[in-house]
Amino acid sequence: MKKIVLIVVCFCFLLSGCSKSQREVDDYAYVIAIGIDKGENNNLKVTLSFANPNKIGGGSDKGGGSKDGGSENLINFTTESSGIFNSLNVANDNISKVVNLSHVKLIVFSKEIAKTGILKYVDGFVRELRVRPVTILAVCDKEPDEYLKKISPKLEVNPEKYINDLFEKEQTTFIVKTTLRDFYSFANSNVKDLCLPYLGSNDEEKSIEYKEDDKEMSYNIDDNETSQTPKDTENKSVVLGSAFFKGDKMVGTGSNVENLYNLLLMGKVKDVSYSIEDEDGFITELSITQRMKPEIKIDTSSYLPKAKINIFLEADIMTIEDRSVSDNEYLKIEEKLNNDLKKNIEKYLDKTVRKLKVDTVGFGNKAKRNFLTWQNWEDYNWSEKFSNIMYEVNVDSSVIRFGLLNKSLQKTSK
Amino acid sequence: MKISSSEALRLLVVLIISKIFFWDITKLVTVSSTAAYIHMIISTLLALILFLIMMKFYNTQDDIFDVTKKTFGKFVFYVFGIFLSVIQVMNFVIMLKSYCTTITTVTLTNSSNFFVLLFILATLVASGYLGIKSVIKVASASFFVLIFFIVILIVFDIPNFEVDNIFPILGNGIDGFKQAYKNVGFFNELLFLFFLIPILKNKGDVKKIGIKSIVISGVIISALTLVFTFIIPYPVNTRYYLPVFEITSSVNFFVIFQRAEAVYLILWLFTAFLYTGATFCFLLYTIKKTFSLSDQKALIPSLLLIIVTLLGLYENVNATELTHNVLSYTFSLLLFVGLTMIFAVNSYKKRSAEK
Amino acid sequence: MRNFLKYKKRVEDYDFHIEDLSENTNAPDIEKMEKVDKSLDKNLKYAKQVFHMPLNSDIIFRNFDITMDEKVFKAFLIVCDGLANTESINECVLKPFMYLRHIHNENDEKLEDFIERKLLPQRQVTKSEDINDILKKVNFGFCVLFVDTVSKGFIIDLKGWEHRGVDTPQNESIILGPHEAFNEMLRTNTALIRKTINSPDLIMEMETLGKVSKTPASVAYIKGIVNENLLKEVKYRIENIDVDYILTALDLEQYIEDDTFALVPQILSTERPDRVCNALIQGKIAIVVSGSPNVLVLPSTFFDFLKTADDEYLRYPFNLVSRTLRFTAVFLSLFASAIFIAIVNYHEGLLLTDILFSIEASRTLVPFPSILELILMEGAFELIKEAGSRIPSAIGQTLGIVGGLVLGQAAVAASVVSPIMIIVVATGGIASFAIPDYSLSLSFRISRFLYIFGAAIAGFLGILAILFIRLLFLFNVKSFGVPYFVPIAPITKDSSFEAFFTFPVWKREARPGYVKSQNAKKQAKISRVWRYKKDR
Repeated sequence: MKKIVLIVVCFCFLLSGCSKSQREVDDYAYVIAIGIDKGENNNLKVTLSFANPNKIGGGSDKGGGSKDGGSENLINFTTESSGIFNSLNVANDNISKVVNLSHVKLIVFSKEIAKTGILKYVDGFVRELRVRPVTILAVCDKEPDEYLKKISPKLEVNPEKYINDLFEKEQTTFIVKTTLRDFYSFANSNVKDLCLPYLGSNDEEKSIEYKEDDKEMSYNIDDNETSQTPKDTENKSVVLGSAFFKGDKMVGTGSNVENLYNLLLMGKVKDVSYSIEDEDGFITELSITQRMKPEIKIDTSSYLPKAKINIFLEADIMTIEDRSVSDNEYLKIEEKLNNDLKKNIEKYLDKTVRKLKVDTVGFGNKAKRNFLTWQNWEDYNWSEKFSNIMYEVNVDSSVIRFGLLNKSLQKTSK
Repeated sequence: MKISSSEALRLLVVLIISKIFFWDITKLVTVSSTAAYIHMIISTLLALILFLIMMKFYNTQDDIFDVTKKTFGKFVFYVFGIFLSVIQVMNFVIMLKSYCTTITTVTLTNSSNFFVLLFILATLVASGYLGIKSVIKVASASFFVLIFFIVILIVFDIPNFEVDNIFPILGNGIDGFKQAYKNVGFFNELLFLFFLIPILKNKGDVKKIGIKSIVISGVIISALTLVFTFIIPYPVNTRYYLPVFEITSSVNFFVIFQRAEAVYLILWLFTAFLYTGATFCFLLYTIKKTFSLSDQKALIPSLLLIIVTLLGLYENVNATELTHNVLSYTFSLLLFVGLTMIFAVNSYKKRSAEK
Repeated sequence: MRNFLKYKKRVEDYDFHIEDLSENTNAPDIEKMEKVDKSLDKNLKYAKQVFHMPLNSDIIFRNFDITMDEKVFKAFLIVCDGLANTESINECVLKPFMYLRHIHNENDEKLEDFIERKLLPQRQVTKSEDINDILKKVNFGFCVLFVDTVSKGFIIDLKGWEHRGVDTPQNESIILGPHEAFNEMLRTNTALIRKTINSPDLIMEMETLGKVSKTPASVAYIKGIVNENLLKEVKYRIENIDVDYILTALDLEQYIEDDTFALVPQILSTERPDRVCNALIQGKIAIVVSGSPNVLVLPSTFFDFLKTADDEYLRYPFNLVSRTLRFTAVFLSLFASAIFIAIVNYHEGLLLTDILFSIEASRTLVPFPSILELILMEGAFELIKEAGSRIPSAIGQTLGIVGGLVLGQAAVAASVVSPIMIIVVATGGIASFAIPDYSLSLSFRISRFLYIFGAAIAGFLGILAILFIRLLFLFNVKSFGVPYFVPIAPITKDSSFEAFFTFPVWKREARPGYVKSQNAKKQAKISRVWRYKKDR
């Protein structure tokens, strides 16, 4: 009996501490997205986007939620204060529920803050228990609260699902994906640099920086900004491109299609369509997939490093214009594809590695393999030698499938 | 009823593993950067060699208190017993402080440390009254469940692996590996194997149990270190407070397995209860044997009061750092050097007595 | 008119209350007799005093004469109306004595031997000198005969009271397999066991329980398999209970079990003969008590309680699946509500965002905190379970509809409870019905409130702390010397896999180790000889 009495006595003290961490699920207000901007006098303008569960969840038997999504599902709240977590205090004072960060999906920085370095804010988020390490970071063109206000998905009731499916899942071609933990890990090191999605809205003047040298930077026949971003949508928030970071500061932006080459170099391309143009002007659309990761070998024996990149692709033919074909037409297509891609990847590497001095591929990671100890790696001084790396790209593709039609019809001359 | 050798093995493995849920992996990574798992393997081998040397001299069937009494006489025996109980109490205090502070970091963030302490105290009281055999039974019954959870964590984390993170292969080089002897303290709990001898069924199995427990726990700790290195690259590695928590929070497999912190909680809290319960029982056993008491249950309330008062000496976990290092080295010295000496003197005396 | 206006005295209220007895209310002392007297009148007078005749109306005293060798002996028999078979009384006792007039004692035997061996055509007749013992047997259906000048009484077994026949089992019905169940007669039950085992080594030892009630019981075991020490301990415990009345087997279970305050039952009680026979073959002991259709099987472990009779008759793949389902049901019935409370109150970061919004939206209008809601729902569920077992069948259907409607639709529509809470509570409740043994499911009903309490205090920390303490207590429970969780808590040579999931029928070569039987093997290593014979 005595043991039971002791245990019960111990437990009686627990009733005092009962309700300190206990809060019902509906006593919280869940933040879905955070936007961080520069305010006046060194303050931060923080926008919190709350989810409205009454509209999303549908309520109990009282009709479904609003069927068209709409911007009622997200409620925005902007404050200005000296730090991020300070703004949570202001929000707590004005909203009846307690702010809860455990379901944050997206953190958007403005362009000005990104240029001055975001590591101090990222550190705060990594340290916080509730913000998950798979949260997506992004940079916004104008002001984050404008972007967040314009998120109104039409095919979804739940805006959090919209953000999740768009940014987190790897089914998109032109959107880069960088998580909070990846950013924190690589922003502190010199082995890899990151690019974040560059967001904006569709009903304003676009001001993407590379517009000045338009012609040189065009990679492809499909490549101008009008064909990479939608012309007219009801949901006004769009992805404009990607932003390149060196360390934790933003140094440049890129167009959407450059991400395709980034993905090719990292080995994550799945089912992306790509068009090549013949000498005669015939356009062929292919769908390329990578089944093997590219081989990247870096030679650090000499003073300057050299890189050899081999990319292996499989291509399916989507459309092919009717024309007179020779027997080894497919070899020609493959050759054209290889050359096109090689040229474009080298252009991309020129821009990022030579001009912006940004290592989005991760050459540093591969170069590390040649050294035995960390000291040797540091002694090699990679960060200074990196931008003069000599690269040699080789693309090897093979056309595998043709869809349901066998050959193209020969043009019969009448 | 005596316990079988596989139960003792499972208890020892659980005791040794329960420390990795703290920051010990971070220590390894700070010393040896990307080759932390090799460092751990070297520590395991060192501990194995030291243990084998110690077992060469061990040829009695008594537990450590009786051996000390027979070899050195009563006075040394009393000193040894009191010394052992004091360092066990301090170890206990530090482990409790660490558990309370870190549990309130991960869950129940708004409660005070005392609140969490009460739960651990309740389990301590129960395990003190019901004896070490009940704790051993719980440990052996839940062993496979814990291992299963660890394996699941590792398996579901595979999409996040980046193989490039373990290059350069040798980490900080030989300078890092030279410090492997300091990390032999992972296996301090082998001392408790010698407390269990009176209730073991086959007393000749002590060597096998020790070797198997060192190997199994070494493998598990090295595997988790390797996984941690795969997931988070080197320089940032060293800043994380709870490495295994980071492993669990990056699980993002299908829709179902997205938020796996519950697995971490279950693993950690259960091993916490087992560790504190078992070490408390061993502490009671030490005091009982030193002063030749007949019953150990009366000591429980007073010991608990002493421990809770001593907890007030430390404010937060960083304050326990120095004491923790000193204690860890003392334990390792006591275990690997002290015990070897005792057994050596004992076997020498026996051999000269036979002659 | 006059009567109407006249004042009438009120009749006094009828007021009765039980008064304490005064001290001198002892009945006059009955002269105690110990041995049967030669004089019949003394026996008759004593017997009438003992049975408080003529107050007792169902005890019959019948005087008659026996004529033998031209001597007339007076005799009387005592029998209880309703307990004895009236035809047998007439056939076996009265007719032989009253019809046979010319009985001749040729060899000059003693009268008692002559009567017992030649004149009573009934299969079980004993003689006794102890008159109190004899008179007590009347209460159990025996017919008692006293003859003048014979200093012994005859006890004739003529039991024949009304009883239920061999029926289908009430609580343990299965789909495939035999459908016989025990009933309340001791001899029927022992017969059902013996006809299945079919071996002379099956021993049914007779015990009597209770000083006054003298309930007959049988301890059944197979000699040569069972461990003698266990048998001695069982008999020692049964024979050393100092109590007046033991009425059923479940009473006996509470007297001889190891730990009364443990929440789990330690002795298995079943009403199917095939389960008892399986247990006997494995080396266990069964206790059959007259008057109760439950047979006790001991020693039992936790995993025995989770086996149904189905497990022997279904094929192996479905056996595995159904045992997995059962363990899932155990887990759900213990932890479903507790985990829900822990997540909703303390760990909302563990839910996926979609599920979180559904839960939150369904709970917006509910005024109570979730713990209170859960306790209300659990309380209502328990009340329905209790009420359902007592309700007469005519209203049973209505209760189902009322319960479903009231608890389900109306409560949700009035926003008193949220739909998700109903799902959680119903899951736990339905899972607890999947547990085969009734006592074990009752223990789970209590334990789940402990875990709900732990979850309400501190989330997962509370649940795990209470689980740890519970396991510490549970692993100490012993059932007749066998630890309760035997293949997993003290590890033995039996494989733990066999405890959770059985092996196929042809692979069960050894009896379970914890029984420590004398003959450990019950199958050859290759029991399916047809597969491996060289010459067909």
